Amino acid sequence: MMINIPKKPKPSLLSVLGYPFAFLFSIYSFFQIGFNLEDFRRNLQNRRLVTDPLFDPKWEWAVENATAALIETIQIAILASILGCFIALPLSFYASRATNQTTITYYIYKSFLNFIRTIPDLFWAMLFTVAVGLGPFAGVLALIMFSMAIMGKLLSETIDSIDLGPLEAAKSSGAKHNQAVFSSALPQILPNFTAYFLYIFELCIRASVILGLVGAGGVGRIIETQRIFLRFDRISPIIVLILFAVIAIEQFSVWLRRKIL
Amino acid sequence: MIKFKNVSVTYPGGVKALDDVSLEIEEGDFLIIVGMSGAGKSTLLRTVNNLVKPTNGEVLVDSKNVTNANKRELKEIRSDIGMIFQTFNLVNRSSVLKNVLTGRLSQVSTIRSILGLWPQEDKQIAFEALNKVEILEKAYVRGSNLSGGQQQRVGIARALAQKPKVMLADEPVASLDPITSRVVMKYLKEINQELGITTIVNLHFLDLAKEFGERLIGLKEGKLVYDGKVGDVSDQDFENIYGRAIKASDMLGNDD
Repeated sequence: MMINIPKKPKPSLLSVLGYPFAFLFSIYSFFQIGFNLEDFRRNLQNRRLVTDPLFDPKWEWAVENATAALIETIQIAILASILGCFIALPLSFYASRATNQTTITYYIYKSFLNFIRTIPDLFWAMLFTVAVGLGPFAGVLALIMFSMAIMGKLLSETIDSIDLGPLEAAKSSGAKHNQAVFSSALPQILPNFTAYFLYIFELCIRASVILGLVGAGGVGRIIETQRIFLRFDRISPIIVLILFAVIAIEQFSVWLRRKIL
Repeated sequence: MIKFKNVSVTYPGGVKALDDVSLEIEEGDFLIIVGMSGAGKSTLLRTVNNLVKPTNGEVLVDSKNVTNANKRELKEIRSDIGMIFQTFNLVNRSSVLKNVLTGRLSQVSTIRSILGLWPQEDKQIAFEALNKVEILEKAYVRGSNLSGGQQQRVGIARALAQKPKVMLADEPVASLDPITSRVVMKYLKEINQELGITTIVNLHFLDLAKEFGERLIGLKEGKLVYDGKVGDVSDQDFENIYGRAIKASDMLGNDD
């Protein structure tokens, strides 16, 4: 039987040029960066300077001096993720095509959220320590920007893909725009909002540990001072404490997510 | 009375959905629009509440110009026009009652509706609307937990809660099985007769159109090609509207 077999499409330009390029560039980078196993081996002989104190943790000192700071870290994360996410909630509706038909304001909100997201959290922290002084308040402000940026991005893209039918129904009955959005769009994205919130809360816990390095409060500050004096025997138990706290909080968040959603 | 004056709609991209349609619909009429998919039925319906804006011509509802109305006037006109959709368009995660209350949004302030502080009177209207389509006992059930036929009845209740003068139904039974289709059509007909609400229904099942309609208009490629009493319409007329012979799939048929 004669059948017309379609011609096999030609390989795309990407696969002809792209993959060999990526391969060659990786090899070039390998040498350019100075990836050198010999250096690695030589430095490994000096490791005892770091590893010996690391494996001799001063537990009492850590519990006595770092617990309050660790709690402060968690407080920063809780406050910042709640405030940041709830500020992002209304903004996201303005930054989505589905709920904002005005092209100009759509682009303004969208670029505003993009702008905040481009700036790394550590930079926000440095900015706010200058603005409001060293301490946890600067950390909270930095992480609010961090949470807001992530929530704004995730949520506005979720809103883009909601079912527009209920919105049309509300509009056809003469409802005002905000009424239509609140009654018909918001319920559709609430489960996503809750899931994103818990995820962002976990990110904030981890991020707030680092913030102390630039003076924005929390346990990071203590790690930074001890690192300067090379007191790795004090740092290692703090890291273990943080690990336990992060695991506990993530377990709680997983449990909560299952409970609510 | 609803009046279409030389209404044309051209969508961006050049598709001409409506081509110079002029039409008058008396108060209390039960009008059925038939035509192939893509003939412009949905577009015609949506020009009545300006969900689609005519590129030429204008639509008057009770001598109020819908096409040129400003935002505030348009909301007021829309609050008198209920609409029912092929895919029901309920908020699945909200309760039936909340969905029906959407029909009352135009009558309360934004703050009240957001806080859920509905006046007792509006709740009463919503309950009565649910009672009208005999689904009152589901008031606190989530929309997603209802069958298709039940969801469409909630859709009707939502439109009824507006206390509308005009009811638009865009393919209200296209997603339903034959038995529930007839139930939904029966409610629409009852509401039209008892409350005197002018009703316009898009349908593509010819037997259903004959069974429930009074006046029937046919659209073909955006043009009005038939306008007459349902009793007078012949198979030949249907073939003209559809531009081809009638097929079994044009009939809803009976479920047995």
